[in-house]
Amino acid sequence: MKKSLHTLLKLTNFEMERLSKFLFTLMGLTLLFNLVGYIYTPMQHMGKINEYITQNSATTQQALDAFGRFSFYDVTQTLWIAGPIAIGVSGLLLYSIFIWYREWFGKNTFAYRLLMLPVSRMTLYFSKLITVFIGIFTLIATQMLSLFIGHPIVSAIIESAYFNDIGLIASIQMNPLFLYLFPLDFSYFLMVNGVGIVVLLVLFTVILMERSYSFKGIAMGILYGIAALSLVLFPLFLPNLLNNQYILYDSELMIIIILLTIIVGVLSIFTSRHLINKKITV
Amino acid sequence: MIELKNVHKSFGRKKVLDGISFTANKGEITCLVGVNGVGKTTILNAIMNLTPIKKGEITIDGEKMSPAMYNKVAFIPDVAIMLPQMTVHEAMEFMKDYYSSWNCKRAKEIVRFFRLNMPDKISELSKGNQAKVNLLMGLALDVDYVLMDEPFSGIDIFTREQITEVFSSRLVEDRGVLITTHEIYDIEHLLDKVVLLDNGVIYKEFNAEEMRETEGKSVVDVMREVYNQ
Repeated sequence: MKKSLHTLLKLTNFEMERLSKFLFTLMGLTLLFNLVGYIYTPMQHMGKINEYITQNSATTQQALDAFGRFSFYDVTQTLWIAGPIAIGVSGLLLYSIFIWYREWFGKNTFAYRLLMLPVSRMTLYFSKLITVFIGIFTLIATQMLSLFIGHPIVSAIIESAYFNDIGLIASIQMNPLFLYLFPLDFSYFLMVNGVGIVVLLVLFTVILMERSYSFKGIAMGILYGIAALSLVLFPLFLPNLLNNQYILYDSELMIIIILLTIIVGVLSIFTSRHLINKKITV
Repeated sequence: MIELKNVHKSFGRKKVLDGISFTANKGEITCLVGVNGVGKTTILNAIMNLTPIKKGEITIDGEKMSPAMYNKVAFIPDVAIMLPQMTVHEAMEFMKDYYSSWNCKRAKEIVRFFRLNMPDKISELSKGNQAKVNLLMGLALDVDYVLMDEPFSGIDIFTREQITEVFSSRLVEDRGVLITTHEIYDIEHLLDKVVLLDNGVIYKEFNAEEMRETEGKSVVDVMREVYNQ
């Protein structure tokens, strides 16, 4: 047990080294785009106010009436913040596919070496899963750090008369996108990340099906993905199937969805274990 | 002993192996011979559990393949299998990290024998030197069996000579070697057992020494008889 844990850590560290360049690029892009947003958006706003005041010989109050107060929340609503998040999410999603396929289609066929390591192949599987998750959390942490840096920058650029300092936490709470990235409630945090893990588990299963059965595997994978999604979302469509009869409370519905999500996750792990141990082909 | 019993394997509708049974013993060099696409590589992959078989059984010293067995059997494929960005030294460190059977002393010996440079990146090596790195990764393991897939494919004559030398050296001494090749001239005199494959079945299996003594035929002579028919 101790030895397999040690091997898992070694392999995860190895995978992290391989991810590092891509991850640092994503982190750099996030910080760079965010920083531009923290500087450009408030400067643009102040520019508009100053132009308005100059052209109309307006007072501060008139400018406030025309433009309202600027808050940090306004910056978080821009593409400078949402853009890198979208890039990060899609980048890591693509990496979750790449993390497997590069072993077969790289310059060298590293799949041979990995599959011939004297360790359980599930250790390999979990090291890849953990690596993607570390990548996700690192990007989330980078975004959080960036917001902490951004708040004082924005408040320094916007003149206090035009600044509505609602605080960093309130700005985050108001943004629906951040509710997924930084859930305030622990159970909600578990749910968001649980769903994330299961999505990855299903994706890994689909990839391993393709690696095991080739073209037939693609069809199997697509069907498996659809079946998994349908099973998890089935309770939400229950009222429609029962002529709009709501027989379950929201809390009961949530419990059923969580249970089904766990079932899909466990099923995906067992299917993947069978495929990687018995069916996979170099 | 590596033993294959009634092994069947298909790719789609194409039968590649159709009831293959043979053994490869420790201390002997067994050669799988056949034209391209006859299923030689598939057999090695199947032994190493790198491709599933449809039917049959493969055992190594009576045991089925398991992760622990990768410390007992080494496979040297005909493609580069270490990461291209690794240096020879890093590739050796990687092996040392994961294989309890990795023999550092022997690894250094092989590096000297093949005149490889430890700081060289694998991606920057010639095809011949990449083949040598592959051999290094397999031969430096203290294993009972070594499987080699087409070790002479696409390499220059000097590298070929060096690799041939490996077969008569103590690097493979006492081990069971299972090799696939259709370029048999260089190692013919070193072979103990030959298994001729054709259309997914074993066409002929014989002891090379006995064949030379009893029928006065070399392995190449037998191959000519079989494949020129």
